[in-house]
Amino acid sequence: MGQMGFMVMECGLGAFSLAVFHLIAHGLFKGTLFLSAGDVIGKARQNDGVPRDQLYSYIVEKNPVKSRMPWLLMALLTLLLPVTILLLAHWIVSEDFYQKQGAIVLLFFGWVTGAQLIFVTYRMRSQNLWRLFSLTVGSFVIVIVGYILISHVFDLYLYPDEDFRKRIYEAASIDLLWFSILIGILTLVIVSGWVRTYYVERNSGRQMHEQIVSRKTTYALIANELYINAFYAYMSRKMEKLALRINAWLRWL
Amino acid sequence: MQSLSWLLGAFFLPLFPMSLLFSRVWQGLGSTRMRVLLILLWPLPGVFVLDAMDPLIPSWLAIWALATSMLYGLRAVAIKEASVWVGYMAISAWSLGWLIFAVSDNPVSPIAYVLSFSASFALLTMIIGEIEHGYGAAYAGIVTGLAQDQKALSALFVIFILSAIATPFFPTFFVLLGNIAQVSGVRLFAAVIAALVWLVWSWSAMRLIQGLLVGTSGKRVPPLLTKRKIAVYGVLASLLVVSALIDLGGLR
Repeated sequence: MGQMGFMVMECGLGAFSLAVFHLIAHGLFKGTLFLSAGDVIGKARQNDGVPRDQLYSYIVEKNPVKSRMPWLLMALLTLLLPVTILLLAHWIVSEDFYQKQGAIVLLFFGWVTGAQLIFVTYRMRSQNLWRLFSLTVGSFVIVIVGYILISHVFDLYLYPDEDFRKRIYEAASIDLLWFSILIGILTLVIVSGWVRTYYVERNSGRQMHEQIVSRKTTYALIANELYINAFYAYMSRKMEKLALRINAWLRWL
Repeated sequence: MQSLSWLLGAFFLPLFPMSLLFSRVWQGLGSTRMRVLLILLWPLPGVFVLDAMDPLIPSWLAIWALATSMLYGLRAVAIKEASVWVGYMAISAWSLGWLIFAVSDNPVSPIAYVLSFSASFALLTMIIGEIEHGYGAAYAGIVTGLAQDQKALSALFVIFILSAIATPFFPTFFVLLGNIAQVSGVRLFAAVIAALVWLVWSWSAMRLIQGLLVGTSGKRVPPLLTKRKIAVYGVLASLLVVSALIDLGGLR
């Protein structure tokens, strides 16, 4: 469902070709996972096939190392690396990309996702952090460059007329001032979220009881998707009971 | 004369409480052949009577038909016996057919609408007959895990149940979609209710499929369908799809 949200967002930005490509690529990816699931389950019954490496030991055996890398270096890497990779990838495709709001928004989302990915890598505290880190960044580069290049080719294929392409992006644009303000606010919210997470983790032993309760309540609310599914299940049970009662009144005729 | 026609129509394209008659007759029949005949023939007089009349049906009658359809769609949710489920679904689907007579120039032919549903219900009834023959009943929860032992039968059951609840690419889907699309232009509220009824059908169908097919097999029974029967049912299912793609419920 999250990917569908991205696709709708892409349509809203005027990047229809990207949405179509996203749909196909994600369909192939999920289809492959779905079709391979049975095979994997069958094989996993014989052997889980997970290599016993440091990452495995960390995730399964919960055995992290004590030492951490300097936080300033990691913070800089976390924030600057994804944006550099994204800027370069966009620049390869089109030098004037920063004039298109759609491209900027996609860049922004790519940056947030990339930074979050590196942030999680850092938090894993693997014994061989640099190896894990370079693997993560390497995958990120391949995904981003591949994604941007393919979507650009797809754009050219679907809309060969340059003017038409421009007009689509223009139609999806809003006032530049408002656009910049919105991007600024979103950046502040996300970065402050990261900083807050960092401090909460650092001071985890000193939190007030009320704070913990309130945070847990909020977490439970969001983790349960605002209890919409629970409400749906409750209504289903009620409707089933109603149907049973009506059937009984009408003597099942 | 008009009121008499509507009354007659209310028995054969059943509207509550006249629908109780069809339900009583349907549940009283033990033979699969008789059930198939009944489900194919019952709605035809209703269609002919209503089709022969010129003026459109009044709003209150359309609302009554929608209410009947929703009532039986909802009642089907709690049904575990497959043959009874077919009876309720037939009433729910046929009563929605009244909407064809509620708007002028409806591209959906009433006879095509009714026959599409009747054919799907008839084929489903035949498959249910096979289950009843092998297991003594087709009651979800008592007969379980059919997919374990009766693979072909289960597949056909799912195909015909999907056809009965008007999923693509069966004729029922196109006639219902055509009907709702035409109604939405005149009476949006009625179209929304009809779409909700459609949603409730799929819910009740999934519950029935889950109860009968999913889980561990309670009673080990050798495959009930011969290869010849499977081929015949397969051809009939294909015919349903081909007929749907040719006609498209007047949506062309």
